[in-house]
Amino acid sequence: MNPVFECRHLSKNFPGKEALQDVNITLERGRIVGLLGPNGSGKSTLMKLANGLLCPTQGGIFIDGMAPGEETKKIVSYLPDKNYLNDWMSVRQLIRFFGDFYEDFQKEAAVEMIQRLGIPMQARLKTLSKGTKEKVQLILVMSRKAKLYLLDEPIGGVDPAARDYILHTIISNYSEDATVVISTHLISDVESILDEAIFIADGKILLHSPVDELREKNNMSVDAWFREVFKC
Amino acid sequence: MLRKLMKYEFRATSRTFLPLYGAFLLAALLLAVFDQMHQTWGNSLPWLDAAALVTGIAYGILFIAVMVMTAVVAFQRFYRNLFTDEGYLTHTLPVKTHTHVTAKLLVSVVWCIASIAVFFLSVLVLSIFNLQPAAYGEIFADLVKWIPESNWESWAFLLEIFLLVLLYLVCGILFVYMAIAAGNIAGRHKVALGIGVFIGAGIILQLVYLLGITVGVRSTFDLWKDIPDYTFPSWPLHGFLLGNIVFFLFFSAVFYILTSWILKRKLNLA
Repeated sequence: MNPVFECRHLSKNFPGKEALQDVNITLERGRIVGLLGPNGSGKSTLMKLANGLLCPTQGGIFIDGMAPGEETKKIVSYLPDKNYLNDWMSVRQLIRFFGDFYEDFQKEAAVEMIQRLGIPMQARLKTLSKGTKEKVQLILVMSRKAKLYLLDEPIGGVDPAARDYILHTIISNYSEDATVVISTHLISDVESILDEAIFIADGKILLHSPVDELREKNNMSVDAWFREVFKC
Repeated sequence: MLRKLMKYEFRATSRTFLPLYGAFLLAALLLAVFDQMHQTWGNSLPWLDAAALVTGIAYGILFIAVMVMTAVVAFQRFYRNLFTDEGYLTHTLPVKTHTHVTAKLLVSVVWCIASIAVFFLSVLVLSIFNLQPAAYGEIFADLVKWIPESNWESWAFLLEIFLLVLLYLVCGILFVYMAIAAGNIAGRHKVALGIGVFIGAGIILQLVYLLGITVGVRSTFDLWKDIPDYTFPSWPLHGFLLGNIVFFLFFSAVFYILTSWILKRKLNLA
């Protein structure tokens, strides 16, 4: 069986900048993986390449053995680090939209989560607060039964209470055989749910290891190790 | 998937067009009403002229707005939906890249036709109090009379003209799509590159067109001089129309393929 996510000698250059350099990663199914690195390290670039939003300069990226395209988009659920939904649409319309395009979208699960948060279904996205918008986006993304979830800074701009809610939503909604990649620099918040950690800096992979091994080997938490590695 | 994309494309764009069409037709109706009032009461209502003037200006502005917005929405929607933050959603839908281009093209063509239809409707509304059913009846009767008299060639002309107008529209929209997409290949100065491609490719296109016309006319004359008497055959006109159809069909295909290729192979969303 193909790995659910694989990068082979992947490089991406922007004018005047090497965003990713010779990245090699293989991820198996059923794992929660932290893509950890400081701002500008290449986390978002990697996620965008996996979704076909950028084209590699060299090397390849494969989802379930396939290059990003129509087939991989059926099995990848992606949460970008920006407001990407049409803000003139209501929550109800967005749920219908996702249901129309994604076969694996579970409408009932989405409606239940939205109602549990007390978000009005008829509210247009532009009338909601930033935090609520982010929750709506996450609910839509996590209501899919995808094989691979790519979540770019899902807890970046929200308060600690909302972070707990978001992490709870992630771990209680992904399917057992699916892999979740969470990109963040807020490691202490996600550490408890991670199986593996990938450290990335200046477009290079510094480390890819199970978090238990990392803790045992260095005798400190992943967060403490991260602070050690990326000390300014 | 094309059907679903078009459904949401219509939903997004109708938010602009339906109120605009409504306001335009309302202005036409008001203008017709004021005109009728003027005919009935003459100058006894002092505010009538001012009201008619304001409504007339509004009608003119709304007419320009309908025409401008038809183009602006077509291209702005393409750009925003595919190359800005909205592209994060558009490009992660499980849809083939060229289907996005097809959906946006078809919906834009429909709005172009709708805008023209609404303009004619507004003219009809303007004359709503002066309609002469007898005159329309005559036109209709002439049309009905023409159908049995017309031969296959008349229908062929109609079909050729219809196809040519449609392809001209399609080719123009795809040309701008291609320029927008090409501009986005650049890491920086996207707008400058887009405009550059638009002007550069536009000049090449016009040169190719002129060359085609020159060669076409020249060979027509060469053939014509061998015809013994001045029978004025219709085939040169068919040749002209069909030549244009082939030209615009060919370049529509080129722009469609280029745009889809850029979106698939050269996409670099910021």
